[in-house]
Amino acid sequence: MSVLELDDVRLAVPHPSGDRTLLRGVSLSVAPGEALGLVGESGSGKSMTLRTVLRTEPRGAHVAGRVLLDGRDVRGLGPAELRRVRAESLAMISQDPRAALNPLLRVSRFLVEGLCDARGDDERTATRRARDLLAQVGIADVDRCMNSYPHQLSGGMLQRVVIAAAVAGSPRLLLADEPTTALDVTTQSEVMAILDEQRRERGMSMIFVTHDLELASAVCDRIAVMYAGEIVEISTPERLHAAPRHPYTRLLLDSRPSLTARAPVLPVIPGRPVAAYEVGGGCAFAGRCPWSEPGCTDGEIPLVRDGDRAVRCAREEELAGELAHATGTEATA
Amino acid sequence: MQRFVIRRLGALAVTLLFSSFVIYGAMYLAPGTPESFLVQGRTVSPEVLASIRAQYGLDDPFLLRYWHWLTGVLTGDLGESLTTRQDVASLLASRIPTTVWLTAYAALLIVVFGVVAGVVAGLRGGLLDTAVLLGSSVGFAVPTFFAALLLMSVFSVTLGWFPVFGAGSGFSDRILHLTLPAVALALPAAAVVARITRTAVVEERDTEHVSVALARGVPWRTVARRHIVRNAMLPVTTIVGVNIAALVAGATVVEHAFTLDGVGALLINAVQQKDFAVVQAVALVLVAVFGVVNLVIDVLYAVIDPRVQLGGESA
Amino acid sequence: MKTAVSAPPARRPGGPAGRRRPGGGLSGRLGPLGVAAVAVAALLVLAALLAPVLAPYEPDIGSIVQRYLPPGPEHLLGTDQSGRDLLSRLLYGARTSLLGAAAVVVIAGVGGTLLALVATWFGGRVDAFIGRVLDLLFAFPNLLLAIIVVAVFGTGMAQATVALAMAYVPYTARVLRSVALRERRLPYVQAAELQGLSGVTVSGRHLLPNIAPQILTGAAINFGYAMIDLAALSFLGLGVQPPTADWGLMVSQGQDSLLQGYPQQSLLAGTCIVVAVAAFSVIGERLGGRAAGGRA
Repeated sequence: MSVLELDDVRLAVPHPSGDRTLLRGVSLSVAPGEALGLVGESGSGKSMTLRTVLRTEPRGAHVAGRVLLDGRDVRGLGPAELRRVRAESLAMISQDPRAALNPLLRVSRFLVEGLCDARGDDERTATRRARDLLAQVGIADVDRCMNSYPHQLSGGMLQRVVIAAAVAGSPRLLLADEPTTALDVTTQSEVMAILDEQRRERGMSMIFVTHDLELASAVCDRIAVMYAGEIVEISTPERLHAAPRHPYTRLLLDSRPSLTARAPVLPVIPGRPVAAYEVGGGCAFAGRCPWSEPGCTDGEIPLVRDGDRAVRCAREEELAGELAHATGTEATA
Repeated sequence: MQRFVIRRLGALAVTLLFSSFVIYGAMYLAPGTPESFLVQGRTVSPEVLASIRAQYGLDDPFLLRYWHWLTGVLTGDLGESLTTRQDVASLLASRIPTTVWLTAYAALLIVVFGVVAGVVAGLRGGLLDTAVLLGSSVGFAVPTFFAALLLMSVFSVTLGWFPVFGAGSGFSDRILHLTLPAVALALPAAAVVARITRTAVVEERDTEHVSVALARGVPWRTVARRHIVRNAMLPVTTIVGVNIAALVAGATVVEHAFTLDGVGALLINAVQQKDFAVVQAVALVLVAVFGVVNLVIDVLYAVIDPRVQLGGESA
Repeated sequence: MKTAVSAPPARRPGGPAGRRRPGGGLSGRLGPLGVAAVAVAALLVLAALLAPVLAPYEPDIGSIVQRYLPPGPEHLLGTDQSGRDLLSRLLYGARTSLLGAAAVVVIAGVGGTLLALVATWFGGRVDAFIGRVLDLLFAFPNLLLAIIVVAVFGTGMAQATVALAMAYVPYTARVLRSVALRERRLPYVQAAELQGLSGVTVSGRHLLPNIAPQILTGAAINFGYAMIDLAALSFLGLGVQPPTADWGLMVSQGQDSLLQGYPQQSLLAGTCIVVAVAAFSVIGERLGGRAAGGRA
């Protein structure tokens, strides 16, 4: 059974000019021990998807659909049960560790709090465990780190602390929301490696949100590409790279600089990203898609599953061959 | 911490030195001569006038007179009242208890009602929040002297619950006498404090670290206490401090309204009678107290916020 | 050859309806409460301007036989301890109270702006010196500073107004200095300076218009404080002197009557102050977009 299963999750937030849809029916599943990458441009709904799992969506948001964690619908939990699930089964690593920690409290308090106050462990055991974990995430001077205030530590150090806190309770599922974006380039890979190692050692599942397709490919078992509040393609990293099935994925792959070939002009995806609430009928990407046809804007386009991959494109079968080849880079290289 | 406090004390001493010069200089520049107040309209012979001038050192140059006054102040000699010939230090000493009681009482009310109302409104929201917001908007606009008269009219004249005038003696009698003045004095400040506290709590409630703590399953009560209220106390400390420091001068108005024999009333009388010896002494004392209160607030702030670099910043 | 760049022009779904700038105009920024506050303030100003036309009686003349009359057709709001018509006194009181507060705000605004611009423009030692002087003034509580100035120059409305204005200058100057400093660092101001425009020209043409919103917001917020503080000085007997009609003074003069059971004068004048202060602080708050108070 899947650790997590999202079934047609929809989310809208209130807005003066009518509710704004942010998620238009997200369905996905995460198997035990699996890492799923959630990739897309800003505003595509990646983070919002995570927030529906934790139930930390914006106040007043309307959420429909089911979010099953080990078969239980998280959306229907009462306050006490929700707190238990948050304390024991889920853990979140957010983008900016500096914002995640209370600036007025010591690091030790942050670490111990998740074990003591949230789970009810006794303080001494929790402290010992926190120290062990800090050592495991590669912090040399554990004493100093425990006694530091957040502003005294670097971003990379803080994110290690957050990772330690996240894995401390051995949750079933890690929710990582661009955990390295706010860090220095030099520490990004280090922190990512620690996260990956910790997760694998403990056999935890993970949803890894990023806009970096490469990074997701490196650490995830499967990748879901999101666009305008819905998933347009799910596949393994290898197949995604070898033969993307959705035009948007193709363009995403093409628009990153190649390490081998020097493109005179780096291809960009035309137009601007479309927000979920702006989508009319048909394919959300049709307006920017070089392959779009009049038929693309009619009716709802389903996410068609084919083994362990899935794609949401009206011309999926016709384009299969064409999309396997890069567009801009290859043509000019 | 020690070094921080010492530094700030040093800065305060310098400020006080300059303030004393400003105060003394202002009085010196005031139109009219001190001896004309001393003789108070009587016709006196030039010899008497000369002896008065000699006695008060009025013929000395300004800086010398300032120096005499300053050294006197430093040894506890605040001079002599021009109108009553009383020793200003003992005059002041007899007035201090009332003012200290009044301001301490008001400060307590500001902290208890302002902060508590703001915290509850910010955490709970809803109707209570609206009530606090509305109350603070109105409370802020009510001048202390008007609040004083309203309270007097309702609770003393009409209901007869509290005495109209006087400061009382002994603990319970003092409390009884000073309740209405303290409420009047605290009202506008409590309104501002409640408003700022509420805003701070609401802002803190929406921060990411609070949402992270909740998402980790930390109970709401713990999050509210440890993360929301505690952090919100940073801006609140500042605003409470500013308002309590302002009581030092604000008490004057309430003392006048309730004819309390406090320091402020002494100051106003002295100003009206142009008794500059008293004015400058009281002014200097008030500035000193104001400075000390502000310093205490700064130290408190530094204790709460670990990010404040104690060694670094100058006053 | 097909490249991603030469794709068909993007369709823009949604349209302009999707983006609305929140609250464009001034009334949008003020909100319903703010508009109401503006209306109240306008009404008060109008009453003050038209006092000679509106007032049924001379404000300073009364007859002792007509003292403490209750509201009635002859005297709509009754009379005070000297038999003077309260409505007339309130209307004339609006003149002194509003004018006094306005004078404080204008003087403090001009003084603060000049100090801020001079400090910003010359920087260095001038800035440091002005900063030190302001620090020194900050060592005095507002009201105490005003009382000291009154002690030196004597009691009276003009003296009290100047005294308060002096007490307000440090706040205005400090806030405006930081705004002006930020503005001065912007490239376009630097460019104007490099073009050889004089300090006065650049300050007047570029800095001033850009700090104008803060000057106005500060003035609106200070207006409420100025009314209260000025009324307090009058209440203490240091500001407006009898028999001039002034709200603060009326509250004070009504104190004895109030204790004898005739609260009208104090109540009416006090309410006028509360309404005026509330209206102006709401306007200031809405313009500045921050909570009332917290001036330091």
